[in-house]
Amino acid sequence: MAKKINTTINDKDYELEVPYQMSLLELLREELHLTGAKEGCGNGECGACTVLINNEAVRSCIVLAHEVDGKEVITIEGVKKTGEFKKIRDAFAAEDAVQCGFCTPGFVMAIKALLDRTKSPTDEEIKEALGGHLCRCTGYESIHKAVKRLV
Amino acid sequence: MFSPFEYVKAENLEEVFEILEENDDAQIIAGGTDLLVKLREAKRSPKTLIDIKELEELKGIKKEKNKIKIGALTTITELKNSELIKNELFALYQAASDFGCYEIRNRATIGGNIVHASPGAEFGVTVFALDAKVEVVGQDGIKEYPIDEFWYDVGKVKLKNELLKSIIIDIEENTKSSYHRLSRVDGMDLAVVNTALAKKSDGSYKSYFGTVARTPYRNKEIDKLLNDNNYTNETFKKIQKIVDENVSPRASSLRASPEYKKKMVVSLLKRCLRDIGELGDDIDG
Repeated sequence: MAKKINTTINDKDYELEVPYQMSLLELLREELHLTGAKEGCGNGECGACTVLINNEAVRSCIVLAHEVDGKEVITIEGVKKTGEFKKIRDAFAAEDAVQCGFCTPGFVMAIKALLDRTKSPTDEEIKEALGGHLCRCTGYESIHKAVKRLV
Repeated sequence: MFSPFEYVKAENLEEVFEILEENDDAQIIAGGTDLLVKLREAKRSPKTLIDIKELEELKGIKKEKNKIKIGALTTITELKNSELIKNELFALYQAASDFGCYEIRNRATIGGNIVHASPGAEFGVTVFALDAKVEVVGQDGIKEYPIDEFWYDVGKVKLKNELLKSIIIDIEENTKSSYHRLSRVDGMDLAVVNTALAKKSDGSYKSYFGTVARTPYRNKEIDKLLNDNNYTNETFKKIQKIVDENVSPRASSLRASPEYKKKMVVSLLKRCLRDIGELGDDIDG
């Protein structure tokens, strides 16, 4: 069964016919071809699918597409257009915080949400924001250092 | 994709009760952080999901005289950020801080954590130790249960076409409280084992251990030993003996062995006592 939802994704309004059983991540990747958010674990454990709903960071693999009816979603593609993204990208490059890049969009969304909450997060706040994100290449030190560059 | 189901965003309580009455196979969804994982693993396959997220009646943290009333839809982030909770019910603040990870805390609710009734739930041992009462709302109005009556087995709570409305905790009765857990990683994990302790207004204690039994486990003999308030290493040897003789955590747990859990709940109990300033430096561990 499908039904219409109205949602704003990266500042663009959509009216979409969406099956009830579709996750937000599937809507983004498979219907709208916004493939920045990744499916890692599919259980909300790895953080690769992180997006913002009404400016709050959430895991889109364990959100139903219908749950964003009437809400505003921002994905990595939406952040990419901003000056803030360039700063985060440069900080990641400077600290070698990217290798395969699979986890990176999730980390960037978590960092954006963190910097929206506080302009100068403490080490503890950075750890809290990134703690639930998995990276199997560069490790966590370099990503933490990249965030420190932005503070 | 999940297996097919209908999805209804409930606009009021009556609508929820109506759907629950008409469908044997309807399932409430709030934050969805537990439920959608279970649906994906096909551990459950309801025909209808009723989304209650927008129901204002189930939201908010309020102080009413000597009680704090926490709406079932309160997110873990809201709990963690509440000054009232941090000041009055420190164990709940600690539990909220340890819970899941940042994004999960934004979505998961205290009510959801309670009704899933998982043996290591953050809001298992803590709300049991704090003698919480729960308000349940149904077509016949509101009922109140002590938490240990409401939550009676793994994954089982007393709800029949009803919703958990709020969790009520007496802050005069609970003067101090603490929660500690062990997990394999700090960033995002479930508790391997956990312990909560509350000190009551008459000076007595209530301690609960998680993941060592089907529901949060309390042994009155242990609390009596704590009541003497004159702990020595010998006291904790006695407590360990009571634990060893009375609990048998299941051996099939993926996270830890029964032996480890039994040792650790006593260590965590010491941490809780140290937190509330009632354990001298002369005690080991």
